[in-house]
Amino acid sequence: MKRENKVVLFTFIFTLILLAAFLWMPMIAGPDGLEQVQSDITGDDEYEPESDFSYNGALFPDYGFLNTENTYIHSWLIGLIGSIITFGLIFGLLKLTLIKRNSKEENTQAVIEG
Amino acid sequence: MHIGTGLLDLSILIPLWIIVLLYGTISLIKLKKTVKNEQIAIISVITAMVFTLQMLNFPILAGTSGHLLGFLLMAIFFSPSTAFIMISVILLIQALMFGDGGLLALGANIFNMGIATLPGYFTYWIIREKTAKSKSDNQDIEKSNETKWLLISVFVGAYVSIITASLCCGIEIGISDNFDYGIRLTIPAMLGYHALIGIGEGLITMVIVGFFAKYAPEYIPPKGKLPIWS
Repeated sequence: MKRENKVVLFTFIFTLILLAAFLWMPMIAGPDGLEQVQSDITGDDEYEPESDFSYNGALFPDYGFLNTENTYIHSWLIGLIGSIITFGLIFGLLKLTLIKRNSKEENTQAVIEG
Repeated sequence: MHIGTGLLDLSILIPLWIIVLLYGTISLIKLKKTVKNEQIAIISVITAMVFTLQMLNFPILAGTSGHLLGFLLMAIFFSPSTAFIMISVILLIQALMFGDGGLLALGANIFNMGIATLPGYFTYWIIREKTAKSKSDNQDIEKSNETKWLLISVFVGAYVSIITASLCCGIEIGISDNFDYGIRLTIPAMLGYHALIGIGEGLITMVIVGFFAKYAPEYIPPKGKLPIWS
């Protein structure tokens, strides 16, 4: 790939991440398809199924962050934090998986070479 | 389309977890063999991009909103098996860090967004592979014909992936003992809203793939070299 195209491509992806992070919160007001289906069928706008199991370990439950009032700063920060964590986790997972493969290949090569 | 805690009963959750774990193991083994070191950065960036785009809701009808699912987008660039790992990581982070989608229901959510979406990829694959080449010798005309069919296949594939994922989700909540309403209600309702959300999915996926086709076509496997699964 040409260097200039690489720059355009990464700028595009980065802009998408920033833009989406910046815009999502103000637009999130409405329920999504599944939430709307539950509320249509049950007639309860705040329908929550009962459950014996609950998980309270989420660091940012419902994408909440520092109780800030400014939805733009809030959404931008939470979007950015989420994308960095996602990047880190998948990067680490792939590195680990491929490092294992590479070391296996090196060992095989060493055995072949005697 | 993130199913929350308590909506599905264990008789649905356990088989879906088993399917997802088996499928995930096979996908990881395939990924180990097929992914190259130099692909790690772009896979990670695109996963982060899809994570953020999944948070961006777009309004569809009377206060209801939809958001990108992104499976087809990732499967086009890499393969369905790699896209499965990518979407699993996204859903894991959403469930663990943000409480979006139940932790017990994570298997069902991964199934719906990473496996039930496969017909969308196959639709894309068939349209791209089976469309006839134009009879023109002019390379520009040939290229624009190729791009036209790429974008059509992307839109249709993305639309189908949303429909099949919402169909599975509708069946799961319809047969669940924890939800007192059957599939006669849940399936049409899910398909109804997602028939509209699918248009948004198709358009967003088309714009991003179109951008790559123009500036970085090497990330989009050419006709004849499209992976079927891995």
